Amino acid sequence: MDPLSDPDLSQGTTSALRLSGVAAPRRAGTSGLEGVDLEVAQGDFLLVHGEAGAGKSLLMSLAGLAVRPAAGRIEVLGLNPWRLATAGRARLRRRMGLVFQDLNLIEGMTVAENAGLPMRIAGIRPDTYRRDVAELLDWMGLGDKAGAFPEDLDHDQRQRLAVARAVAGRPEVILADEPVGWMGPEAAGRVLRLLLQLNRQGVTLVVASRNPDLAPARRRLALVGGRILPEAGT
Amino acid sequence: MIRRHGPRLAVLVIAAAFTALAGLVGQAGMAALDRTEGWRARLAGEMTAAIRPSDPAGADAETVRATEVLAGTEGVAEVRALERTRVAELLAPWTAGARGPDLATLPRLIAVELDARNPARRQDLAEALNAAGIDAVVDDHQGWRRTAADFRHSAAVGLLAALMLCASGLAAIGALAADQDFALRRAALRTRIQLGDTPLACLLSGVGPAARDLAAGALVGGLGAAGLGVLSGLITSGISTADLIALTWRLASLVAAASLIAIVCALATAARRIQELDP
Repeated sequence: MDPLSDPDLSQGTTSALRLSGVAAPRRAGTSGLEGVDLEVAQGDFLLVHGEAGAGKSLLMSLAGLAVRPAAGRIEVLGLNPWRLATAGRARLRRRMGLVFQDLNLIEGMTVAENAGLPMRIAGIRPDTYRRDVAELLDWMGLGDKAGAFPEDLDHDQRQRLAVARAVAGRPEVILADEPVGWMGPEAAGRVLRLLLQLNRQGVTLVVASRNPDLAPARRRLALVGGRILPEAGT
Repeated sequence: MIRRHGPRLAVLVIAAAFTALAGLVGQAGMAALDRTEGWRARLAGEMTAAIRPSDPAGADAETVRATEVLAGTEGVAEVRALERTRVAELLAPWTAGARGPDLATLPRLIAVELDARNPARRQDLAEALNAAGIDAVVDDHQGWRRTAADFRHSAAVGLLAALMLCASGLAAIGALAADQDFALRRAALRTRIQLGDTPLACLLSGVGPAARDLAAGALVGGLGAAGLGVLSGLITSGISTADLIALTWRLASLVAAASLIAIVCALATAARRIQELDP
């Protein structure tokens, strides 16, 4: 069955992500966030949509621990990351997979090294994960680019690589900011199927996009001017 | 090529320059300290008896007698009467260069080398001379020894200051190397932190090239300083095997110390910069 049309998306009972009264200052060209309350259960799939500059990327950065909130409280997998020591926060980040809007690929590393980076950071030996990375890159249509560098890829391929890296470390939570924005329909469908398949296996999925119909998410939230509008189910 | 490797080359050259400077300053300073210590030790192992002859005509005989008395005193190893012309040279600053007949009125000086194991005291020599009816003053070189000690102290302070300056230079170049490296890898490090790498792991994974440049610079500088040291030794007094061993040892210590200072400073700077990446 095509996961895109599968309504039986898994739902969890424990909170994977919780934001309480979170605020963050505005950044260039975007709204700040004010008093954001949000809870995502483990295994849930949340689609956050809104216009450009609505604050989606800021919300994802906060949830992805790339930005510290100016106010409020964030919990990821039951832990407050900003009360953890540096090493504890690093361990928590390893349980998350992030697709950044600006991709953040490491230019000095090959495609395979970029994709395998989460596992390398987790201390897994390269010969252990090399095969998994190769399979993942094949699935993403990047099998023949494993030895290339990010600068040799077009934007579509770079975005696929960013998604591959986010899922490679088998994270418990995936936060993806416009994960298929630059992809063609075929590649986008393939990537979304992969994300949904992982979600069905219990991975919590939070996707931010301008397109409210990007994927059959169990929950959708609209973000307007840094504020979350009342929730509507699908 | 130069644009790409220029900053690294600059780090290497500056680290080499500061290490070479530290090596040269260290060698010169240690030589000055050794020389001063030798001077002080020689002054401490000798005394000078100034004989004031009652009759200029019998001065030579009185000097010979004083020499015999001093030679027979316990704690004296060797006694040597100085030539009159040598005395005139030594006392020239106080006698305005006495010449000819004036020399006869000058005191006669006797250098007394003390027994190192059981040295005589100044009073022992003065009492022995007085007991023999010889009018004499014994100088134990206290003033000169104090001067030598003061000079040694000044040389040590100067050496320390110069070495601290070199150490500061090495620390600064270490920080600069880390900053340069950080600027090149900032985006990659930020990504690694966001993917769950610890600042310590980032630090250890990235400090290699900067540390290698600094250590290579220190080695080049150390070899340069050692080469100049060998050259100057060959020109002045020659180099023995023992000198070469000592030089090698000093070179290794210098390179290790210089590398350590620069690398520790580079690590501290890199650690601070990486820490800033974790919001």
